[in-house]
Amino acid sequence: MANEDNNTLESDRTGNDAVGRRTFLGAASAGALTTTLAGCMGGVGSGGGGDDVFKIGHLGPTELQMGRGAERSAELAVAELKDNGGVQGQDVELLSEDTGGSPSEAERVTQNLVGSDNVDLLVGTFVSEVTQGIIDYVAERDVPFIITGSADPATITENHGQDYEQYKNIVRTGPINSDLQAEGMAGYASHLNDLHGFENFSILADDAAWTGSFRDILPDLIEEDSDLSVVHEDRMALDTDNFNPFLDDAADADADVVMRFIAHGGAATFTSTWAQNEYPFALEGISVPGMSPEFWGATNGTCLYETTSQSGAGGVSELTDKTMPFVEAYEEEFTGDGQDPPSKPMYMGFNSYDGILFYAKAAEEAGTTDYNSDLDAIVDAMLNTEFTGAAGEISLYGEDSDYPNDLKESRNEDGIISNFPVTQWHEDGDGGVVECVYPEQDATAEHVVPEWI
Amino acid sequence: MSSATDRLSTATGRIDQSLQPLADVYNRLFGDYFGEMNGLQFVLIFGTAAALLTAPFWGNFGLVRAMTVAAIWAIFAMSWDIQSGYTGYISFGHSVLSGAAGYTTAMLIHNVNPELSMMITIPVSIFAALVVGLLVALPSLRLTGPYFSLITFVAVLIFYRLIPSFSQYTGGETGIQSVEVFTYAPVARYYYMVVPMLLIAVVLTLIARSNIGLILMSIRENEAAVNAAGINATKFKIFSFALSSIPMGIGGVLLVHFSGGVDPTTFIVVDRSIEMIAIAVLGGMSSILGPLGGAFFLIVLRDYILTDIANLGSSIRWTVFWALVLLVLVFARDGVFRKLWHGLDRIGGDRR
Amino acid sequence: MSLLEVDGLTKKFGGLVAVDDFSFDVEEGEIVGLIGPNGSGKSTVFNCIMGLYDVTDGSITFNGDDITDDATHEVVNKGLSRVSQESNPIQEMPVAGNIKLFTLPNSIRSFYGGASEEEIYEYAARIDIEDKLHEMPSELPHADVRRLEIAKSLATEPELMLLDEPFAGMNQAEIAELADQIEGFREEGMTMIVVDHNMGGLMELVDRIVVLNNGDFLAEGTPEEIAENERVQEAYLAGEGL
Repeated sequence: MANEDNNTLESDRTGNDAVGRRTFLGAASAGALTTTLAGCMGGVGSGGGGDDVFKIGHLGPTELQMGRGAERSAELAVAELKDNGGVQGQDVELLSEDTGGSPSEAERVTQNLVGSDNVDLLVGTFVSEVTQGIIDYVAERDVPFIITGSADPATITENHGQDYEQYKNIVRTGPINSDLQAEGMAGYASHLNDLHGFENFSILADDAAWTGSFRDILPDLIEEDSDLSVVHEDRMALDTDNFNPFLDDAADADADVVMRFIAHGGAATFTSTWAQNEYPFALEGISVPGMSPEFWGATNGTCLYETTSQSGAGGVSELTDKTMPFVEAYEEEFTGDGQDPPSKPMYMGFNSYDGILFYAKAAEEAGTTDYNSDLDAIVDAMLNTEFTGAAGEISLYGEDSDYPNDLKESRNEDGIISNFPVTQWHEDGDGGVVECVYPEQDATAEHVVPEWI
Repeated sequence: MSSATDRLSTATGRIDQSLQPLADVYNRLFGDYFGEMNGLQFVLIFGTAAALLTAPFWGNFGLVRAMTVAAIWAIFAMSWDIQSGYTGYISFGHSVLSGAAGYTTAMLIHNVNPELSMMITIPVSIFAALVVGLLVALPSLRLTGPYFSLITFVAVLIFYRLIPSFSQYTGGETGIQSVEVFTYAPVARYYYMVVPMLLIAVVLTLIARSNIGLILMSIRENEAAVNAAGINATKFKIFSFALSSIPMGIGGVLLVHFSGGVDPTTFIVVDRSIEMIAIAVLGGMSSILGPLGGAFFLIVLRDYILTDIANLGSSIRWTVFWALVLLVLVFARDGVFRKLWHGLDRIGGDRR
Repeated sequence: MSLLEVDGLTKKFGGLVAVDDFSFDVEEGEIVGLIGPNGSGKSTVFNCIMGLYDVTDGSITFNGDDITDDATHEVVNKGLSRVSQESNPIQEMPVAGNIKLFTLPNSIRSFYGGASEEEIYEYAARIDIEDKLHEMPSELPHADVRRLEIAKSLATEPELMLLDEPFAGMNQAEIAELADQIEGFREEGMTMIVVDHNMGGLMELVDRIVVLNNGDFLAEGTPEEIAENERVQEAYLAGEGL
């Protein structure tokens, strides 16, 4: 299709060779004729495999740390592929787009990536609304799409579960979906009981769609362990800035552990409120801001001993033999003076890195990247590929399971979910570092309880 | 400055004279309905219309997509204008109207029957927008002063907060994504949006230039005089809002079938209402075609020029968008396209 | 039956009584003067008649029809029109447009109704501003702005016209000219009430004068009778002279 020239990328402004964006120079040099849509008319329907470059479109909120970490991790994956001869003999190119966390913006950039840039693979999306906003279009166009950020089970159950054929080109290689995360969290609750005798749990969740599984099924899963009970539950509005009432209620209910599920800016306030008032319970659960390596500085160290689950365990534990080489490569290139945070990949980074390399392996298996003519071969290859990534083992559920095309959870010999590790903030000189405290096979330090408890 | 325009006028005046015969044909046929034009203005209007209708043949993918979105926003801005721009009763919550239409379609599909035909959902959704419009207008437009504006603002805040409260039916913050799009094919999709937009532009311009428009504008300038003229100003104020609701409903339907779903951020949040105002003001309030121009200018700037060409990040693009609006408010309050129109009047020389 | 019957009209603003139990009638074809010192309630009476204020008590009847609670536009459509004390033309439109507005029907379905250009010319001609039709209100001298107010009122085809201080700000020559035109309207069949706070322009123009003071009816009679009425003179001394 005549539009190819639009994307000569070696010399783009950011000076970063591996990343390409549609540049003014590229568009101008292509000339008016080759960019007319009429010329593209036949081309709009085709795509993928039509040229000699394997193009990957990465979607994430790149103005946030999570998105930036993921974009950089994708670059590392692409660099590795190029070093190893590309994909199916083709050179590899990354086009990274900022979704801004907005469904309409995400649709715009996705349609540009697919309709104008003719990407062969889509990777990413962090916000559930964004995933939902683009999924119908991506399903329609059959472009393989690997979700590496949003964990909403409904993405799979309401799409693949209703019409698998339509959505089969879409898979998730990380993280495990929220239903499975809830099960993992319940296993962790039992572990805390084993370690410290904690019996009473409180669940405080952001009033947002992503916490649905933790609000709806986690309480019952925790109470399946007869030693444990859920004594308090509540939802926090997204604009909450005073967390005392919620923490007071949890304390009044005699909670030993508060499992909080928080993803927005108030997390730092939540943490400092907990620490400064010395509330008599441990702080566990999931905190997306708490995953940032810069969170210690943001909370002035009051996050000491709070924990969060995160794929990749914050890059401190040798989950697989790929983990530390990846983290080191990230730190070498992206960490240091004058570099923007995050100084470690963060969970979406791990997943985007793994997702790209996973697909490359599947494509080798299938012997093709042409999704227009051989989508079934590609999908079958993805479903049959077992891949060791930096975050853990990647293997996908099949068509007839509860979560088709979704990442399978790993279980240890006791049946406990093991690929959703928990990290805890510990002191390190004047600052803090994150240590992996669960599961035990991956732990780099013991789980510590604050001394005031 | 005026000597420069004088010198320019000798050249442009000649161009205008050569085009005047064409313009006069138009003036004879349509002048009474839409107003008259000189030769340069004729070229501006019909040239723009021709460019809009042929965009897929000279534009690229990114530009045509931006223009598709701009067409929908042009409908919103023009609809806002016929009510707020003309009567001066500024609505800060116009997105409740398009949101009502979009959400009606999505909620029918999601809660009632996913197979419902567009032949049913589209008229019902537009009707819903009209109903919401009357619900807002009837109590608030009986009042003079700023109360109407405040009520429209509160209406959109309430609507936005209702969405998560009824998330079972409304899809909450993530919205509902199970609506069918008209098509993903970029060329067809463009025409699905641009053709209704042009029809709405013609109808609204016709109304604005008729006695109805005269009355609405007089309400803005001197409501007491309108009543003293034996005309029920309240009735016309309510009528303008109801009138505005219908193309807002059409725009809402187009938007839901463009994106394939609804969510409160894209359809309802008050920012969207403010953008409609900004677009109309930048283009030129109380002119219908000014807001149309404003929509294409700002949306193509934000969604194509600043990203595909200038490669700016998302927040910078929004900053540029609002900075431009601010500049226009300070330096060109009447609107960019109104200034252009009057400029063409001046450099075209005398019309007759 | 009188054309206009004002019966026991009372208007209170909170504790302040602006008009107190005021009654008067106007017969068809009359020109009635309504006078009183500043603050006597004359404009309030007009505002009540025109539906700008809600009446506290009393009734107003026009052509046998009770218009006490009617809205302004309804009152206008029944045949009353008022030329306000303050001129407030619509600055955005030329004189012709301002007049045209007052000819438009009260219908959301009427896109192209109202008066024709000839008819607008006629309205303007009756008050001598037909050569100013394409000028903007801001370009007009004060007297012409006042004439425009009258043209607007004429354009509603009233049976009864209320003129609120029509001579304000005019010199002697202008007053004489306007008084002639008003007399001309009467010859065309118009009934009028003219409000003024002094008698200067009214002596020769009106048939009958009603005097208001502090919201109360004070006196009624021919211009000569009122000019000699001592109580009227006292009321004005408290304000200003006749």
